[in-house]
Formats: sequence, C-alpha cells, structure tokens
Amino acid sequence: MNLRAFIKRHDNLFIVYAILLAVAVVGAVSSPRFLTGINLGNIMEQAVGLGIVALGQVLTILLAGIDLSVGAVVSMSTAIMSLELSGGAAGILLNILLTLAAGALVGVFNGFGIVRLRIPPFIMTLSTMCIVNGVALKIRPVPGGSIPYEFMDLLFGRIGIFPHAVLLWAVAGALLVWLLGSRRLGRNLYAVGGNPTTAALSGIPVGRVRMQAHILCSVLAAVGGICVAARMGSGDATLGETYSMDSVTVCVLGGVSLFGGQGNIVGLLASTFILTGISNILNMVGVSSYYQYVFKGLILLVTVLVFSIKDKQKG
Amino acid sequence: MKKRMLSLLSLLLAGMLTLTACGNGGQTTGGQTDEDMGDAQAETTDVGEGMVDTSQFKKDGPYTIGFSNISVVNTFRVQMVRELEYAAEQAGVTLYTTDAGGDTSKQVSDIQDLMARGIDALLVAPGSTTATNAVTRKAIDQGIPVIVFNSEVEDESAFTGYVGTDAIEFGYVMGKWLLNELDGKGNIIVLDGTAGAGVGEMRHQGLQKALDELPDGGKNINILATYYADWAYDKGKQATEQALAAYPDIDGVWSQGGAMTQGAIEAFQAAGRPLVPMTGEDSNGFLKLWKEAQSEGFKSIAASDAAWQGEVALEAALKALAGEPIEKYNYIPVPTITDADIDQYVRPEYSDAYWCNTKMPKEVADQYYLE
Repeated sequence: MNLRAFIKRHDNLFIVYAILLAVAVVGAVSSPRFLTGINLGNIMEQAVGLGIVALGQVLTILLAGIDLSVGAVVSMSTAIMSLELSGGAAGILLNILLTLAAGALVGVFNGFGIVRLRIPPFIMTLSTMCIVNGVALKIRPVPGGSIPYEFMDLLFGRIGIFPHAVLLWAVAGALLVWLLGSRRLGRNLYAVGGNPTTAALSGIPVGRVRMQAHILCSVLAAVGGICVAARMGSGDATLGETYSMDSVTVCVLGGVSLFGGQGNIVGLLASTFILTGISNILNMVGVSSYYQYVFKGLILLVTVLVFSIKDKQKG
Repeated sequence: MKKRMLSLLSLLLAGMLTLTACGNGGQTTGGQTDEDMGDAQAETTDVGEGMVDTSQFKKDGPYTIGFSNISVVNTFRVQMVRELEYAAEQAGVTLYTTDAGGDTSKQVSDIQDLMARGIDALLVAPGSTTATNAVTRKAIDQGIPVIVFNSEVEDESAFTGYVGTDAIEFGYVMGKWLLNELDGKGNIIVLDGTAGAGVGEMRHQGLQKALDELPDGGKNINILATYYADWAYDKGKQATEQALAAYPDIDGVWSQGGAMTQGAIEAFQAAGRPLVPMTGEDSNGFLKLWKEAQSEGFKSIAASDAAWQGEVALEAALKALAGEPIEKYNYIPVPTITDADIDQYVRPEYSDAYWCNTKMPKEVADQYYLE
C-alpha cells in the first residue's frame, strides 16, 4: 500500500493524533509534572469512563443518529452499582449484571422508539434521558451508598502506570474495531448511515441494524457507568450529566461525521485523551476551571473547522 | 484492505496494552492500602479523646496547600473561597485551588491533579459523602493530611480532620429563639431548603429538637404547612403568599435560609399583614431588610454557617503539618446575630451577596462588595 494514499485516506485520523501530540507537548512544556508516571496514570483513569461511553455513542452517530441518553445511563448505572444487595464478591456481580441488563433495556427502548415508532433519534433519546434520569433519582435520591474498596481497586488499582480498567477499555475498543471492520454488522452500519434508502433497497435489515446499534450503545454506556461508579465508590444520580455531550464531542473530534456513514473509531482514542488531557494540563498549571470549558469548546470548534475546510478542498 | 490494516493496528495496540498490563503479574495494591491504614490508625493513641495524632505528616515549610472545591454555586460559597484565599495569603502559604463546577467526578480528577502537581496538605469541600473517599485515602497514604470542611464525608479513614458548623445546631438555634418569642404556643409555617438535601434535612431536625425540648413537647405549636423553597428568594415568597392566602393566623415563620426569609417578609408586607417573628441567615440582603423592618416591630435571629470555616480548616492543616494533634471533628459553634447586635453586622453600603459573619478585614471586603 502506498503510504501517501494511506495518509490521504485517513487524514482525519492524522489530524486528531497530531492535535493529541500537540496537547502532550504543551503539557510537557508547561508543567514538569505532566509526563510523570503518576500523572499519565491519572489521565488514563480519568479517560476510561468517557472512552468506553464514546465507543457506544459512535455507533449511533455512524447511523446519522445520536444518543442523548448515555449520560443518564451512566448515572443510573452508578445508582444501581451503589445498592447494597448482598455482601461479598458475588454481591457486586449481581450489581454488575443488573446494571448491564438495565443498560440493554434502555437500548431496546431507544431502538423500539426509533425503529418501530419512527421517532427521530434526537427526540427519542432526549425523552429516554429524562425517564432514565428520573429512575436514577428514584434509586438514589441523594448521592451515597458505597461500593467496596476491593471492587474499586479491581478496576482502578494500577500495574505500573496503567489502571486495570484500561484493559477493559482496550478490549471494548478491539471488539468494536473487529465488529466494524470485518463483520456484517459493521458493513451494514456504514451502509445504513451513508444512505438508509439504498441500504434498504439492497436488502439490508435497516431496523435490525439500528436496534443492534442502540442496544450496544446503551450497554457500553452501562459499562462506562460501572467504571465511573468504581472510580467514585458511590452512586450519584446526576453524575453522568456531562457524558452525553462529552461523548458526542469525542466522536466529532475523532473525525466521525455527524451526517453518518463516515469515520472510524481509531480516532476516538486520541480525542478522548485530548479532552481529558486539556482539563489535566489546565489543573496542573492552575488555570481556573471556567477556562477549561472554554478550551474544550474552542478545540472542538477549531477541529471541526479544519475538517470542513479540508473536505471543501477535496470538493 | 486499508480498513483491515487499521483493525490490525488497533488490535496490536490493544494487545500491547494487555501485555504491559499482565507484565507485572499478580501484584495488587488492595492489601497494601488496608495495611497502611491499619498502621496509621494504630499510631493514633495517647493524644486525647477525639484528637488525631498527626506526627506522620510532620514536615518543614514553606507549604503548598491544595484546595478542591465542589463549586461556587452561590454567594456564600464565593465568600467562603475568598476568606480561605485571604487566610492563606496571611499565613504565607501557596494555595492551589480547583473548582469542579458541581461535577463530583471532576472533583476526583481535580484532587488527583493537585496531588500530581505536588501539595503538602489537602483541603476538600466535598460534593458527595462518598465520592472523594478513595482518592483522599490515597493522599493520606502518601503522607498528605486531608482536612474536609463545610460538608461531611462518611468514611473516617478518608480524612484526617473535619471542620464545619453543625447543621442540626443551626436549625436548633433558630427554633429555640422562635419558640421562645412565641412563648411556646402558636401557628407557624416552615420554609425548608431542597427536598432530599442533607443539610436541609439536618436543619429541620434541629427545629424538631427545639420543639421536643419544650415543657409540653411542642403540643401547642401548630405547624400549619412545610414548604420546600430551595433556599431561594422567589420560592420563599411564593410559598409564603400561598400560606397567607390559606391561613388567617400565622404567628411565626421558621425559615432555614436568609433569601427565603426576604421573600417571606415581602409577602407579608404585600398582603398588608403585620410582620411576625421570622428566623433568617447572615446574608447582607436579609440583614438590610431586617434592619429596615425593625421600625415595623419586626424581630429576627440570623444563624450563620460561618463563611470563614475554610480558615479554620487551613489552621488544622498547618497544625497537622507541624505534627501537632488536631481534632477529628471540629464543629464551629453556630454564630448568631440578634436584634441587639445587628448594627455591628449589617452593611448598607455592601451588596446583597455579602455574608456578614466574616473574618475578612474591611479593606478586603470593600474590594469585593462595595456598591
């Protein structure tokens, strides 16, 4: 394969990794503590939850849809995880199963509304967000409950600089790369996202593809929620709020088109670290958190601008 | 083909991560942490009842202190941060402040970042009773004393000392004054904070405690209605309007927030009803209105959450760094302002955002609050 052609084909990826490199250089220059093992481990720990949620979000965006309910699923997951059902290792396993089942149920609900009732994804998942937030608040009206330190350590203890949960993220990422790259679901997903009418005409079960994508998305949001719960050691029905928009940001920054059918998930690794890294660096140099939000917005804006200028040049 | 290349690359990357992760095989940190905590607790002997031995934190200055704040969501918290910043300046320590904007997950990241940046002690105004516990335990493991203030956390091994006012005491002081004004009998309405908020429930418990302490157990106090008015001016006013329409005889208002009391006073005035005794808080907006309404025979008491509690927390941190024993729970007695001494506290020339029970010198407060 021709290297130049390869770069040209995946230029969005190169842009986002170049930005990540730039962020890393800025971090290293602005604080001597940035490149320490502890801090890099912290960044990974801070990124894992969002990274896994974004892996789900990308499936709906590839379908030219969106899932605004992932944040609520994260909140609900922390609430379920923090219930003291029964003691010991088996107890927490029950929490995990319940959380994943609840996630899958939300996915089925979203899929049903979008496929059968033909409600636009934006509205459907917005409604789901409200409902799930309500359920989460019902389960855990005030933040609290407690998750055993042993379980927190299982996910966020570190080997070298790597928090264990990074492995979970890597497995989820590898699974999706495999699904999207070499399975029928992946091909169908791109086809439906690119042009649903053509896809339907060529015999692709459009409804089933959407349904599968939403179930997978919500289950991944639940997995992300489990990580967040393990990190916080407690349940909080409002904890997930930022995850809906942040996961969309990660997808767009990672070069996935909001119009569907374009982009791949390799960029998400970089864009997740860009978002997390910015907050970290600004904390390390002591910049007020208000600017952290401004920076997040600016980086997103600039990247999307670069993408669109480049696409225009391509004609 | 190209897509397959990329898939392969990602798989490789994932594989590498897996390999590195497995490389150190079998080492977990769980047991370690617990042992360390055990040691730390074993050392805390012979320093007196309720005191914590801090000799393990002793080190020489100059000090850098980290402060992780959950948010500056209201004027009280804004002033709380300002008073702490002023106190740090006076004490000659460097203060690194982070603000999580209400996001508990960001607060955990903030604390990690502060630790990575390098701090000698950590102050935390937490947003949750449990979320920060794991990370503050790590801080203590690393020899960083942790002082939690303003809002309590659940796990005693997750902080070195706690500083704050007692929310039950806050409600009790107000309740006792109001019941005394009413001679233990009459109709009152209650303006509570937000449903489910811990501080609000505790302040309400304080009222209950005052009722229980009456010789007749509060039998002659009739609570007409209880409203959750979210500590907000408009909701306090609305609730009181409703109450005034529904009940011809209201003898007192137990309100657990100054802004709600402001709303209640205005509702009474608008309805043309004579002002009854109401409880309030030390916000300047309320005190100004109270001062004006004194001519109409209005009486009140203002309890205070002590905007300067961050300074007390800082003192505790510095003590810990000097290796001196500190209190595990340092409850600041709830300061109050009464009809007798309101003139010392109210500042007509300042904005409503000012909290009158302060330790900021006038020159500093002038900069922020002069209108």
